[in-house]
Amino acid sequence: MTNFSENIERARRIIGFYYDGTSTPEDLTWVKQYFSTVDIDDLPDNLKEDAEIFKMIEKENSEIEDAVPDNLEGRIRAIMTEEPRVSKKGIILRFVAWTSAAAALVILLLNILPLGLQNNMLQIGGESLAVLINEPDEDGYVQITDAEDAAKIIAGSMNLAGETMDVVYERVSKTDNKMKKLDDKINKILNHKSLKAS
Amino acid sequence: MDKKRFEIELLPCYKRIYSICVAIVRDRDEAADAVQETYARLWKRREELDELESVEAYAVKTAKRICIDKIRSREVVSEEHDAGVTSDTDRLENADELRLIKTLMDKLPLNQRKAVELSAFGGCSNDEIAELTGESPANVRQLLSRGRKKLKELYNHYTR
Repeated sequence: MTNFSENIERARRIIGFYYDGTSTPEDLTWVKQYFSTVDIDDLPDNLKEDAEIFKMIEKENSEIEDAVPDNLEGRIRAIMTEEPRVSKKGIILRFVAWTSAAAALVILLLNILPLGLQNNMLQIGGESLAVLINEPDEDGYVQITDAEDAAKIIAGSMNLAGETMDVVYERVSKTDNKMKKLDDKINKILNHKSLKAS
Repeated sequence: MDKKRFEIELLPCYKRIYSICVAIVRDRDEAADAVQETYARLWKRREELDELESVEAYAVKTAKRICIDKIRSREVVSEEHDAGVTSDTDRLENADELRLIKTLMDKLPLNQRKAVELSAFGGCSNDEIAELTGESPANVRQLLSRGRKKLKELYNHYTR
């Protein structure tokens, strides 16, 4: 049996299953592919009509494929370049690690480096440090003379900054989500308009 | 699977996947969303794709799954009417060859049309059609058989 005859027999079998309602998607893929490559005039009469129907179904499929939204490929490529987001926990842990290291360094430096007290102000590196704790004086500041206390207060301030960053991060994430939803809506509108125009 | 291979083997399939999604969800915007979601899932699981025999088949299967879930989550039933069987005096107007098959399918009874379209344009198996339409697999087989035979009859009538 020639290849052509074998293909004809296979096509006949599949068409039989097709009208029986028992063909598989793979069967139909094969027969669509076969009918799209063969010259209909070469087919037996009892397959010609089916071949025409299958060709028209394929044409309809091609029409839909050609009407794919212009930006769809871009949307898919954007997925392929997304870096995994750093988790909130990761950011906070990193921040705490850095601030703890900074606080430890300050404590170490305060114990090692020569420190001067000038006008009852704690000085490090020529800069005066003054922090607000309790019972401020008329200028609104309290002078700290104990180096260890000052380092603890600085570390506490950094932790407070970390908590503030936590709030900022949460708000930025919410805004980011809202912007994404807005972007999706705009894309839908644009796609709908471009389909209408076509 | 690395990004380069993903681009070569999977990215070109998106148009075909889109046409399958359109056939199932019957809405182009939703179909585009389904395609995007499909690729997001594939990209997330790209390291496991190397083990598959056919990544394209897996992509199509994933897309169909997403579309089925979308249809299930719909609350409003569409306002599709039940198309009756044509009479011998019906004429096709403004139906060029390209749209002929779609126009003929629209003339099938609703449940037959759904099954035939899902098979023809969505590439759905009988089981998938059963899941999408809520019919039993045995009913789907019957709907496909009757629908396809009727389609051929209509085609014969209008072209010969």
